[in-house]
Amino acid sequence: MVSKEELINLATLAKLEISDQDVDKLLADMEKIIDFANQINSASVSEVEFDSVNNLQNVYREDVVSRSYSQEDILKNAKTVEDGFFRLDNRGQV
Amino acid sequence: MISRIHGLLKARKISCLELVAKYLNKIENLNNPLNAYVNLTADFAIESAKNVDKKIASGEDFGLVCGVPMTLKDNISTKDLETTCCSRMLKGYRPIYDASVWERLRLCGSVLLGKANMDEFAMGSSCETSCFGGAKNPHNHDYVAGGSSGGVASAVGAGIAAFGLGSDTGGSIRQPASFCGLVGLKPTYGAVSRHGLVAYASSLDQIGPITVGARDAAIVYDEIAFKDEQDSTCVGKKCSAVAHLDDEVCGLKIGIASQYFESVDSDVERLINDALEVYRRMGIEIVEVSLPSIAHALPVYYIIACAEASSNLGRYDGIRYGPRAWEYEDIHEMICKTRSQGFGEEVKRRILLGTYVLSSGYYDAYYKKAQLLRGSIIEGFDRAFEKCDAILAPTVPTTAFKNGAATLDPVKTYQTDVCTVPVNIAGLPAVSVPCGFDSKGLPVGMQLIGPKFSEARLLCLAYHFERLTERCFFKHVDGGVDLDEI
Repeated sequence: MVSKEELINLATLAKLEISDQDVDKLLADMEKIIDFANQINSASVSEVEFDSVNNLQNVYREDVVSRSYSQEDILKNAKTVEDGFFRLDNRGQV
Repeated sequence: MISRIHGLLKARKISCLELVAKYLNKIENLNNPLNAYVNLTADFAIESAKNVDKKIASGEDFGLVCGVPMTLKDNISTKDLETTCCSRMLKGYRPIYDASVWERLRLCGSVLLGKANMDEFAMGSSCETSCFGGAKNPHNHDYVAGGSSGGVASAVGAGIAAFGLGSDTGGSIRQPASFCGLVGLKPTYGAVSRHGLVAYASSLDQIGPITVGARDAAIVYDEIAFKDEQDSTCVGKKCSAVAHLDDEVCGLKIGIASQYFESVDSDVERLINDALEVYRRMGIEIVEVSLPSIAHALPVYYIIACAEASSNLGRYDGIRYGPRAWEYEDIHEMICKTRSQGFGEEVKRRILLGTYVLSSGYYDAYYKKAQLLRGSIIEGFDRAFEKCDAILAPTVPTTAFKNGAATLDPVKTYQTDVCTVPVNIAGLPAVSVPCGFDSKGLPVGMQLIGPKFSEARLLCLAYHFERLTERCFFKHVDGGVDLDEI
């Protein structure tokens, strides 16, 4: 069960706003989805070492400079730029 | 398809520019009902075609994919060409680099016709979460093309692209390939570079081809599976798939797991049984295997995928790329508003579920438990492959959904991924192959699943199936480019 307060807290953590008109529908959806996720509660698993589950190995490379991008390229998709930096106005257009 | 185009170009029956013009012309007629392409790259395609023609004229050798008109799912980055993931959040975004797979194909001379429709950020099973609306099934426009790589399957199925690349996180290549009567290959995790693929769930995502026939899938796989330093999880392929297409299959073993047939439509089940008969005729032994651990694969998948998505999608803040909200008081409000206006409903649901399963108090019960179950699913497959070379299963329990049906109930829609997600959880390769039509005339697909890096064998098995059935399960859809006319 997710309460309305919990849902709003989750949204804040995820940097999302939920409008009053959406909150009930989202609450109902989340409840169904979490119910569905709860299916795994009944499954039994041995407590193997958590990190070893996927047999992960680190992959290293030589510490040499390879491909990189110019400042101009990096800033190409930004809405507002100033002196080679991303610019953020402290207040949007109201 | 690819070999035929190569032959036509080589014999100078048609120039690449003429071929591309034919495709663009057909796209103009067909894309309006299909909605397969969300962004046409006609000028770029014409430029590329001219370069290919110069290369051919110079007498230089050219590879199989050179000059072949194709498409990319819109989550595969294309330098200077808009890449939106079919989300308002990336409207106008032009990547400053090519995805490694596209860089390779571009250098080989493949011609990009346009970017293909998809579920927003690859989250969906019907292509209908796209901010551009869904892609239609070329076999019947009342039905969806599938998802999330629906646009690629719609375009290739309709004959307005010779092949395409999609991405598969929980079935997003195989399911639309199955719905549209095509071959769709989800490679082994780590066989194909993810560099430049906009991340959804990084431990599950993999790029692969959607094609007409197994030979084309092998040709494209051989081209895109290479070791790439830009993706530290990518080691490339073990061997060429094309070189092994004609290998002997007599004596191989195909496994059948009853767990894959628990909620399957009768038409689908019947056609899979027919396919087993075809394999028996080849001298392949059919053995029973058991995969009890996949019973929990669906919730495990959604927990892991959403957890990773909630983290991966944290980067969309309206600062470095994409649109930004207009009215805000401070940076927190700016980011919240930007994300709330930019993301669609399904993406928000998955971010919230991901945030939930990773939050303190729930992490052990959901995320950690799901990872442990992931381990047992991997072990289950390992044990099954001690008894067989490949597992045959339905790709999807049903054929294509009617337009609009998938958006009504999220959990019901998640359940249609039941046959495709286990492969992603275990990092295995699988190929969906057309095996017939249901009573409505819609295509049915079956998937062959193999141990890691067994793509060559899976495609060989698919290729033999096509040959023995004389490819009668590929239905030509009227309206697209017809190579017979050239």
